[in-house]
Amino acid sequence: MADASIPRMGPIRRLKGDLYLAYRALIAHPLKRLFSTDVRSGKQRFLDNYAPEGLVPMSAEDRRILQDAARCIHCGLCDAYDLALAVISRTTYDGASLLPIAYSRATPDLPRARPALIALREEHLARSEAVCPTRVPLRSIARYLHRKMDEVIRQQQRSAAPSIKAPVA
Amino acid sequence: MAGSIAALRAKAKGAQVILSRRAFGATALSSGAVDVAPDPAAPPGDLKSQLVSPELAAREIARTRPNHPYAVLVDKLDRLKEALSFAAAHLPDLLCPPLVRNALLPTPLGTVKPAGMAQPAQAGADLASLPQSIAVVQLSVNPSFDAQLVARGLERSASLLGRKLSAAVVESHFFRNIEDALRGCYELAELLEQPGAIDEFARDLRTRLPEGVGALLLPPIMGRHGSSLAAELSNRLGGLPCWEILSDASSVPGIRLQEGLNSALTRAGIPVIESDVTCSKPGSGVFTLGSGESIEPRAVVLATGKFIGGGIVRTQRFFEPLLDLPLFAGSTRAEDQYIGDLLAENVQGKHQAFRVGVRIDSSLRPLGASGGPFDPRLFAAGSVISGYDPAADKTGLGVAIFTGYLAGEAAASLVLLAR
Repeated sequence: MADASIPRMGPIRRLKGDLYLAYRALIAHPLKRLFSTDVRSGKQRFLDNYAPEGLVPMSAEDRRILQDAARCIHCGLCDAYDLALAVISRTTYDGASLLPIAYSRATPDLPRARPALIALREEHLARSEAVCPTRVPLRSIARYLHRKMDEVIRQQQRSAAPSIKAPVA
Repeated sequence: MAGSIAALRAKAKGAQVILSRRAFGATALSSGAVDVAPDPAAPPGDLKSQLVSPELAAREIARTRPNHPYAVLVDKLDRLKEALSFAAAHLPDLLCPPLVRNALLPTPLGTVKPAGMAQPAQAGADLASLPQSIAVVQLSVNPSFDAQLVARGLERSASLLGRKLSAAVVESHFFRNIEDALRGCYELAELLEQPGAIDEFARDLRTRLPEGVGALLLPPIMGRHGSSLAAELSNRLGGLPCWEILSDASSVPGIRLQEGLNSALTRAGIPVIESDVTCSKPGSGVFTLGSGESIEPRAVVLATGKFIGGGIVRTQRFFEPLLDLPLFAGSTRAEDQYIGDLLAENVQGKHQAFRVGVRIDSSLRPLGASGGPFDPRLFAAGSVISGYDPAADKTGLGVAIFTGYLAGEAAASLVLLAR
């Protein structure tokens, strides 16, 4: 059923809208592509647009790991058995529970977690993972974070490179 | 808790036992005390009514809540104390014997909670027996514990109980490094176990204690392993009674309880296998461990917990993942019920969703779809059983111990009979 609060579009306006879309698809875009010097595909340009913000593509495997991370119930039991806490300073790393509830939430923030992720070893997390009531795969998440952190840093370096030019006089 | 008690009881009866668990359950997240039964008829705020025998309160729950495990097992309720004593005997440094009446133990939220059994360092903090003047310790760098909240809450609760109580706050500067402010409760508890730490903590407190204080209440971080360090602190403070308040999650006393159970299982010679268990053909009695090994036990106690332990799962619908047992909310099937119909409108309401579980008969055998026992070799214990909310009903660990004890015994009897 149509929503009465949305004004109905008249046939002339609808026709004008459709014609404009057709013009964009059939004339403007092909011409733009014909004279463009950018050889990248649309997908690549889309990805490149987001790279400086630290947003990198997610594979099906990545999404599965994030779904597993979402099982965390924030009970903090993993922190009680986290061996890394004995070797990494608290200003750098606050415990295994950060992996599912903080670090894995946003790839743009991963470069800031770099010191913690570099200091963290998988063997630190083995017991934490074993006691987790909801079986959050902490070690898989740590591997995922390492991978994504590398991707984000690589992407950001690549996208930052063109701007490191001598200022125009 | 339920699974460990069942295993210990079955072993004590002479059965050969293997305990298989996916991971730690909700016991490690508990307050560390055992809530057996509050008075269900007590009006909110009437703390005097809670000072009853847990057994009497359990009988009252059985009378007024027909789906509660205490009601289903009402004929066996005279063995409740026996079950609690059995648990206390297996956790000698960690649990006091069952209390004659519920103790009102302080929580970090400034409330008190009726408990039928507690850790030795917690039991003395019973609001009804605390001296008139107490002090609550605030760690200067621990933002997760608010001693003011506890002190004012205790004074208010004491007035509801009809007694006078004056609670001062003592700020300890024992933890003073900038890193200490970022440490979690488990780490702070471990730091207190370092050689000389408790002496230094006592020295720091001694200089700050107000005159005339009759007891000291401590944050629940008094030692990560074994029993609490509260007694040691008491010795260092010239015999001043020192008690630990209950914990919320993350819980150091809860971890102590869980590790105490692990030690009890080791002492009893019960192998613990940490892996997922699957059953490809429910009813066959054959289970596959995470290693791929198949086992066919003569009797099984299902003590898989509820939503935290993974015994009951809800992803769009409720289901029991191991044997696909029928689930009940009250007396009706729960699997396909709309979740909104099973939740109350306010937090303190009766949320049937958190009471969903398998239904048992009076022999603790889960019922199948036909209404009869699903498998005569299968027994259930703990929060996988329907009819109670282990987190909110204040009967959580009490039911776990009681049903674990009876289920372990029943499983062992079946095995020994077959021999």
